[in-house]
Amino acid sequence: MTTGDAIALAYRRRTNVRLLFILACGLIMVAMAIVSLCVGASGMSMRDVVAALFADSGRAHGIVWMLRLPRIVLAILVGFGLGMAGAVFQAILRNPLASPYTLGVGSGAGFGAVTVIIFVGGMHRWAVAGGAFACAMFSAGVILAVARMRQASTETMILGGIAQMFLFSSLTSLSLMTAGCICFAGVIGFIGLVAPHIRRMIIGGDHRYLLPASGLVGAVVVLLADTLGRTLWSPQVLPIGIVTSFIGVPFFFYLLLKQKKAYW
Amino acid sequence: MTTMFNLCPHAVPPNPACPAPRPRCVAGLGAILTLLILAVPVLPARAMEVTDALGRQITVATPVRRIVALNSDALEILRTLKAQDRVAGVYAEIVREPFFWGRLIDRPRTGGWRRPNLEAIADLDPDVVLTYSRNPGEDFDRKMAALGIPVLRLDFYKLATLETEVREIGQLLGEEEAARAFCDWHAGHLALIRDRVTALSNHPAVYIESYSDLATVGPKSGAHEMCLMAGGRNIAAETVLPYPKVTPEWVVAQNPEIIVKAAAWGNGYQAMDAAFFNELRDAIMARPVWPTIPAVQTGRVHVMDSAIWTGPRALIGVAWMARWFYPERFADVDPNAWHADYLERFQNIAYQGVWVSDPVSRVKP
Repeated sequence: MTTGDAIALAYRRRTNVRLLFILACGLIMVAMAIVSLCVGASGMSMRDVVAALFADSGRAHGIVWMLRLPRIVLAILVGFGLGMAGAVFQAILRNPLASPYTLGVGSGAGFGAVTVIIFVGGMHRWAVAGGAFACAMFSAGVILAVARMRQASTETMILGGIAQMFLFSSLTSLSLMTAGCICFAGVIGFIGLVAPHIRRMIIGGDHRYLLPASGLVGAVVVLLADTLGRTLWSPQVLPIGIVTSFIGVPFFFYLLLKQKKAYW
Repeated sequence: MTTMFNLCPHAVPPNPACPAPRPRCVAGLGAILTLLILAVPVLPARAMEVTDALGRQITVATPVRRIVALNSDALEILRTLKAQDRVAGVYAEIVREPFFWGRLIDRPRTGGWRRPNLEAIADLDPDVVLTYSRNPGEDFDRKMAALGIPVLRLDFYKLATLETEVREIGQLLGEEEAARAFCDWHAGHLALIRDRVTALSNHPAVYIESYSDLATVGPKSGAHEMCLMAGGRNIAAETVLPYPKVTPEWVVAQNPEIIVKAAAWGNGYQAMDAAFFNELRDAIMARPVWPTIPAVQTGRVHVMDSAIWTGPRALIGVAWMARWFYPERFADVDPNAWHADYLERFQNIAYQGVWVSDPVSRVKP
């Protein structure tokens, strides 16, 4: 067997491991979604839940289809989005510290949402999402413009992002103060930063695999956090940001310490 | 509360209209003053010890002429005690209720109720600062103490302690008569509700929601106390937190017979109609799966303004709750009439406004 064959074999093996990992993540996500669908404050048994899934109406049907499922789908989408966004930011900026939050894009979105809620009035969901999206795009644009104009290094971008994050956080607090409104905006800042690292430690830097895997693990962590958050201390709900940190940070430290050489 | 020094038996009330001691007191006053100066030269001329909501003994120099009120509850009690002329500073949020507070909104402002501006307070040189037991944090007392300004923490929003606190502050301000008038009125009305409720059994299950969605109230909160007083059974009575957030599924599973929601920005005194409250009520009734809750099916969903929620007017809120919980037993109680009586007698302002949502006229099947 030539050296080339050995490399090709090793590559195929590595690819298989990566595909297996992605498959496993997908399976875990589906399993967790099923578990999440079966637990809740109303104490329905698994049999009730299955019956409710195929029923046309009634309270159980409503609880499963209108309360639990939307929450599960949202958790998966949020986690997937944050994980992917973090991986993309880190790849484009070639910086392990990049994430939607350290770049100030998350704070920009928060500011946009709060501004719409307070000044445009009303809580129309598309308007709020639109405001958040517009401000997020604006803050991402600022970071990229700074990078292009000044030929900035990636460190400059991260520092600019952190500065921007503080600015938007202050603007948000200011808007909240002037309106005197209490906002329970949940920030799950941790996922975008850490999810890509967890994946990179396990499956390496090939983005064909890294991107979907980051999304999947982000989805698993957020879904797990949300399920625990609404069941652990029922009927009291734990904010999802707190739970994600409690689950994710110890695991992240474990991987970080286990790592023998620099992985980045 | 104990009076440490009382110079003459009919101690001069700290009333701006009558600031000087009466002549027949002067001789005795001079003698005692001389004695005092010889005996204890460092103590203030007069001071009172007041027990605050945290059980601490706070020493306040009297007469109290300049007061900073850091929240609306304290300010409302000062007006009840006819001490509004002694208000030297008010919280920033007062601007939202210009009709209710009238000329009091022109007083110097000392920042938001949670985060007051210490320099602005020091600048006003008050004799005492009135604030809640939990806001702002303890650090505030230390900083004020360094400036020689006592911080008196009284809550005025819990039914169980309201009258005691009003009597204490009344004594401190030398307005015992006004304090007694209010306490008698309050105790009388509360007793009416309590007597009727004690005789009733089958307390209805109630879901209480405070200002934000799915934020309910547990034990140790003012609203839980109000619900119990009105004869309701709070479905969140077993929670650990005073203000827990819950899932909609849990509320559905508890099958509450009545839902009571507090509206933060109703501004009842200025409201011309119940539209704002009705919108909130309809939104609650339209939440996914909530139409299966008994309270929604029977239309027993009610929204009340924050002014009659916890606070000096919690009694009015309790009266509304009692009516909603036991419509037949409390048919003769008109909370608006009680409210009008309170505003005219104790706040010295004309009654106006809308405070609760309208009854649901059309019950959906």
